[in-house]
Amino acid sequence: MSDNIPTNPTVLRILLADDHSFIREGLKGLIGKQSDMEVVGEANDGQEAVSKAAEYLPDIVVMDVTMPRMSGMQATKQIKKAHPRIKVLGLSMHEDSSYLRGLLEAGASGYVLKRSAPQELIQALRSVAEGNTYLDPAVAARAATVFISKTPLRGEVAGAALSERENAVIRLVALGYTNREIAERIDLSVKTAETYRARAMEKLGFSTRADLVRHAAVLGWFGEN
Amino acid sequence: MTNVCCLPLCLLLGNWGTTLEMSLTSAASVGEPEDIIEAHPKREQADALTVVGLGASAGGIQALQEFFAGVPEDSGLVFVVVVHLSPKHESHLAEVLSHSTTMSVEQVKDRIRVEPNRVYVIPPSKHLIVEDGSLRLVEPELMHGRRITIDLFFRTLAEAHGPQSVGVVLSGSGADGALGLKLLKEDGALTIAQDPGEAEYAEMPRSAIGTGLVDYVLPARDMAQQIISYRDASRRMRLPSEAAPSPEQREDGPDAEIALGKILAQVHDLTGHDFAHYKRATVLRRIGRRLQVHNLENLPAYLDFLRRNAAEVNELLSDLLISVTQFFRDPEAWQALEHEVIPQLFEGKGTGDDLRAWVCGCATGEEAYSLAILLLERAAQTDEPPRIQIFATDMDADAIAHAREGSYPETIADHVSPERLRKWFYHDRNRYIIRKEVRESVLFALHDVLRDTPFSRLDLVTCRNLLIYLNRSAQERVFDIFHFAIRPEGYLLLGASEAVDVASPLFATTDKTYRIHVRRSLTRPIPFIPTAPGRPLPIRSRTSHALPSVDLLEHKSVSAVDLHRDLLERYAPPSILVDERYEIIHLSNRAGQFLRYSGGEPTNNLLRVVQPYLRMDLSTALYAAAAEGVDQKRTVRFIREPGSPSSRINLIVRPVGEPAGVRGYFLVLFEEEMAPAAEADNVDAEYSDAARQLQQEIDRLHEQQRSGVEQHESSVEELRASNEELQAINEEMRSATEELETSKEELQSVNEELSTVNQELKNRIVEVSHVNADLHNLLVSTEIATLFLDRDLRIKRYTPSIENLFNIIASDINRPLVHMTHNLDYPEMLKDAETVLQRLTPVEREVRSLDGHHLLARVLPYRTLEDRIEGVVLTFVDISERKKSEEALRASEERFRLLVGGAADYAMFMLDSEHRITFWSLGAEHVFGWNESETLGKSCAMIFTPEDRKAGVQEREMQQALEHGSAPDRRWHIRKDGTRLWVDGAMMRLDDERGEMRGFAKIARDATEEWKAQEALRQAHDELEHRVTERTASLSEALAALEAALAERRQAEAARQDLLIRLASAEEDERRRLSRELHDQTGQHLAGLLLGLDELRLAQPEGSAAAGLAERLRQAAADLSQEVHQLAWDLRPPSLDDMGLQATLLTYVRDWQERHSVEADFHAQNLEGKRLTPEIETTLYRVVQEALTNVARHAQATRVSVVLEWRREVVLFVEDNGAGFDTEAALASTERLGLRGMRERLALAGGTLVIESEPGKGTTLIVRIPLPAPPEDNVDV
Repeated sequence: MSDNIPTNPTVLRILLADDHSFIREGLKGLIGKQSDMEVVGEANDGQEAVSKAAEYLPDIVVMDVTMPRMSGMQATKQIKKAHPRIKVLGLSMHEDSSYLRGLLEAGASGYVLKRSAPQELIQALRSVAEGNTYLDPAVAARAATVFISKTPLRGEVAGAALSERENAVIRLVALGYTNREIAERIDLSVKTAETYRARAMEKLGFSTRADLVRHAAVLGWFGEN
Repeated sequence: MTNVCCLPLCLLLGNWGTTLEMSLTSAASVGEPEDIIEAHPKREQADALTVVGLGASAGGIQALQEFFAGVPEDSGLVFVVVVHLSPKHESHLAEVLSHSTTMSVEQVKDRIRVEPNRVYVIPPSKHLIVEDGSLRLVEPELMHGRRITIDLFFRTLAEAHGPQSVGVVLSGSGADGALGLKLLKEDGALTIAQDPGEAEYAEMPRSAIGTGLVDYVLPARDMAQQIISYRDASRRMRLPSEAAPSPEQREDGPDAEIALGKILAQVHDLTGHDFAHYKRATVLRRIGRRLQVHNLENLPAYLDFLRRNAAEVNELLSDLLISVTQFFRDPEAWQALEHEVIPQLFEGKGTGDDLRAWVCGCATGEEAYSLAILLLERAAQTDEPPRIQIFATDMDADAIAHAREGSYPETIADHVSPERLRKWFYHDRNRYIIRKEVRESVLFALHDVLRDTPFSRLDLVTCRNLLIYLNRSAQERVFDIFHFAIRPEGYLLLGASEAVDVASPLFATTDKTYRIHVRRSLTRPIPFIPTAPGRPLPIRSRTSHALPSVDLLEHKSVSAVDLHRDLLERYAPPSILVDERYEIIHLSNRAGQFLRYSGGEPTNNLLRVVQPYLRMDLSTALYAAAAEGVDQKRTVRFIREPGSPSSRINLIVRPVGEPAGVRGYFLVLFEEEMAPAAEADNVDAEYSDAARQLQQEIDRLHEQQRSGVEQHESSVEELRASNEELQAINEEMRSATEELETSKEELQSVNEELSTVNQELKNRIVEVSHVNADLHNLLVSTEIATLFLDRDLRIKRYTPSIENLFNIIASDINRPLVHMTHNLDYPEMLKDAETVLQRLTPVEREVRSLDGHHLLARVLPYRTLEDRIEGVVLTFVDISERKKSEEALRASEERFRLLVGGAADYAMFMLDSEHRITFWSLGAEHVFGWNESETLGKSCAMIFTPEDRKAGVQEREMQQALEHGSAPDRRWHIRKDGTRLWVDGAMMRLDDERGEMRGFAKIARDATEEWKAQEALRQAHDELEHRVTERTASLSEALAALEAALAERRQAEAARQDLLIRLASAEEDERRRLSRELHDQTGQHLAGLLLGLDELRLAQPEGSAAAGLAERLRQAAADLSQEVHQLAWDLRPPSLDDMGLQATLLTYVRDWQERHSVEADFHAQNLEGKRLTPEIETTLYRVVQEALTNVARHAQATRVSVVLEWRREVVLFVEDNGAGFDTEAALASTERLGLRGMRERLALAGGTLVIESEPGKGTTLIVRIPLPAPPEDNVDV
């Protein structure tokens, strides 16, 4: 095991985890050309990645997201738990941000699409090694909106000057009643209910039902029933 | 408390004041009778502040308001309002009254000094008393549960203010105030009661008026004026000083003094009552009241008034005689009497003895009855009680009349215990009336203790509160009289403030506190006892043998001293004045030498104390003088002492003729003649011997005579004592006579009553004769022939209709019935009558008259109203008509029978209550075969078939008929010949007129043919029925087959559903597989290719064609990789499985937004970190996909919102602001297949889809899938 202890501290020690051998071969060739990096080991699935990481204690694990036996996200989670210093760089076919998000939440420090230019990966490795988070520019924009949309809320200050009727209607809207049901419930015509709803949405500055529901969740309307 | 007797003593008009001597110094040292006179020393000094006490109860507020309406603001009076207030409530009386008067009204608090022109009001639950010009509150006490608030106040008012007070009794119930008014009146106050006609509650004013001591009865509003003029009169009034007038005054004879004398003389003349011995202060005070009442200023004016108004003297008299008393007054004294004295009185007395008591000054009798009650109670405890006789006397005729009545108001309950009330009184119309046994033990008499002969041999004398009104000399006289009247060791009871002089020789005090005295046993000269044979009676008395009272006045007012002095001037010799009984009244200076006292009881009788040698001559002279009425002279020779010369004395007895008042007195003169000594000696010498013998003889005769005289005198003395006793007895007789007089009056009233009763009886007789007439008319009108017989069956009375039956005329009354002939066929008549008399049970029978009528004869006992049997009543009622109708009935019954009998097709028969046949019709015979004789009296069981009989069918039928009135009878029966027949009929219950069952009737007919026809019909019916059943069964089978087919269909449908699900799921699986394939195989290979191409490019020299080619290939591969990814994603996003619905939809919506440039928003509520089932996730994903596809295709929306919530169910909204559409039409059209697809897909997952849309208003899709809320998230709490 002592053989595996890094001899040159300036060289990045990298563990490759991918279930496709030709991918690993390609990556090994790419990384091997870099003077400051070396591939210290390879893993064929998530579980192996975890055990190899523990064995080699690499600086960075390049982790495929989709792998048999254990997904990249699971493996990332376990490695980060056991060895917080080991950095994980996701390498994936998946362009949808759900994977990006899943992996980052599992503890990964970066995410690179497999279709991106190889330089992208090298750059990501260097950046991650320096302690940064690196996101593939092809997914970075989406990732940003994901995070933004988790915090937004424009109208939470509201409660703003709603009439009693508007308030009642808007609450029922938020609780998932249809306009007809609302009309029946508080003894209004459907049109009137709609009018109240529209006026309340406008006052609160919401344009969509989703806005309203987020708002309601923040204000705790769902707990009130 | 004051029993007043007037004193008919000598009154010399000129100096009557001396007899009114009295001490006005206030003090009450016990044992000094004359010191107790002034009961209220202070009040005369009280300034002229007049206090008006107003007592009221129920209905009083209005009366008070009216009263105060009449009071001027500056009346100068003090008003004190005492009413019965509820102790539970605060009183607003003061406030209420302040609206009626301008004076200040205040409720008394604790203690307050009264001021004029103010009204003081009692507070609730307190009593109010007057004390030293102040009002003070005290805690209340109840007297036997009665309210005495007003009485208490009036009492203290009387004590404190006396004549300067006014008592007013207003509306109220009860009798509070009446007693207080009496006390006020006694102390000279003005008393007023509200007119009972005006008062809301008249009881209180009535009680007050009932005391007879109310000055005015007025309406409330007029009272104030009367009070003010009374007060003004008292201010103007001028009365002589109450102190005894000085001699100068007397001599000067100021008008007032003269008038006072004349007023009393007037009273004496007209009423026979002499108030000369009345205490001056009392007399003045009471006359003063009359002045006030009549608004007069001084005594001369009153004298004038008295002379002009005949009635006034009686008013004055009743004011002077105010007598207030009550039962058991001073209860402690009565207790002392009961326990200390009365047992002594009964000591040694048995059945034959009398216990005699005298109540002197009994007023209205309360004290006398109290004493009687005590004595009777004691007598009841004694085995052999003595007869109890109480004399009760007073000088007030009205009071005596009242006492005899023995009827007292309810207020006596305050003083008499409930036990005594029950035992000795009976209650009648709000009054207590003394029972007869008490009443009969008391003799009431009009009697003046100082004038009339007293009673004698008394065991007990009570004389309470009488002496205080008498001056000392009168008191002493009264004690003398009592000493005479009471038997040795007898008792004398006096009032609380009276006592016998401690030093009195007559009575010894046994109880100082309660004034009980016992008579000392000592013989003393017979004192002055009034023995006037006839006494002047007051003019109101019925008897009228009054003596000219002027004579009496003069007679009694002559002073013996003056007379003697006058006579002495004419006769110088020694002399002695004696009265008719030879009691020495006066001696001259030298008369003593003729008297000689020897041993024994000292006496003033001249004949006893005169020198023996004078006694005989004096005795004869006195006797002759009395008999002849002229002077008598006797010459008596006597030797003063042996050896001394004899002297001669002229003894002159001169009856005193002038003035008439002292007639009967004698003057005895002693003229001494000194015989010359020589002459005497000569005589002595000459007749010495003979004289000596004669002298001896004379002496002897003298001696004999003397003893004879002594005997005579002692018998005279005895006779006199007897005479006195006879006079006392006479007095008793007189009392008894008066009683008889009263009884006679009672008898007269009884007589009156009887004549009233008689009148009433007459009226009754008239009524009775009316009733008789009515009865007669009634009897005539009924036309019922009636005979009234007495117990001997003699005719007493009959009605006219009897004449049709009996040969009877009016003169037959009282003839025996047996003598009467009649046209009845009724031989048992007499026997019946006798039977009824004996047994008292009526007899009734039908008889026929000879002319063919039917009659109902009734014989009844004759009962009087008292239920006595006094004979027999026979009545005969013509019942011919009834008979006829009975006949008619019988005939109709017969017809009925024939009719029934003729109905051959119908069997009719009847059963009695025992189910035996009583009637059997011909029809029955025809139907059943048996004839009447075979069936009558038998059970109808014979017609039942053996099996029915066995099964009890017959009994059931009867039972049903019994319970329900009728029972159908449709069954097989049996004929006489054994054949069977089907019968249709009914059994009916028969009731008598009282509704009780008397039997049954059956009507039945042979219905065998009918039965057969019906049977055929029934069989046909059964056949039909059977066929219908069969047909129905085959139909059911067909139905079952159909149902089975249907079930198959359903199964097939389920299979299709299942297939659909599996199809959908297979499709999804396929998509998933393809997607994965693309990703994991194609994608990865492309990635590997990319890496290889890159490596290839790097291996070529920079800028070479090969490098360029490699670069382009790499780019193409990268694009291909992206497309492959997109293709895979479109097939089925891998993240749906890997990352879940929420993450996938987020990505999807964002991609959709980018792709279609429509603002799209996604929010998932309560799904963070949660997974739905894969099927539902897939379904929802596809629905969103489809919905957004539609939006992109049709809606032209600018904004789309997708909301996914998981609470009680999973809800998905897809909402756009686009063109909208007509939902009905959309669902119907084939174009929108997508919607239907969604529906189906959701239905497979158990969900629903609702679409809200309108053209122009956007569209909302609402998807709901029932799914239990995630357990770890209690969003619903």
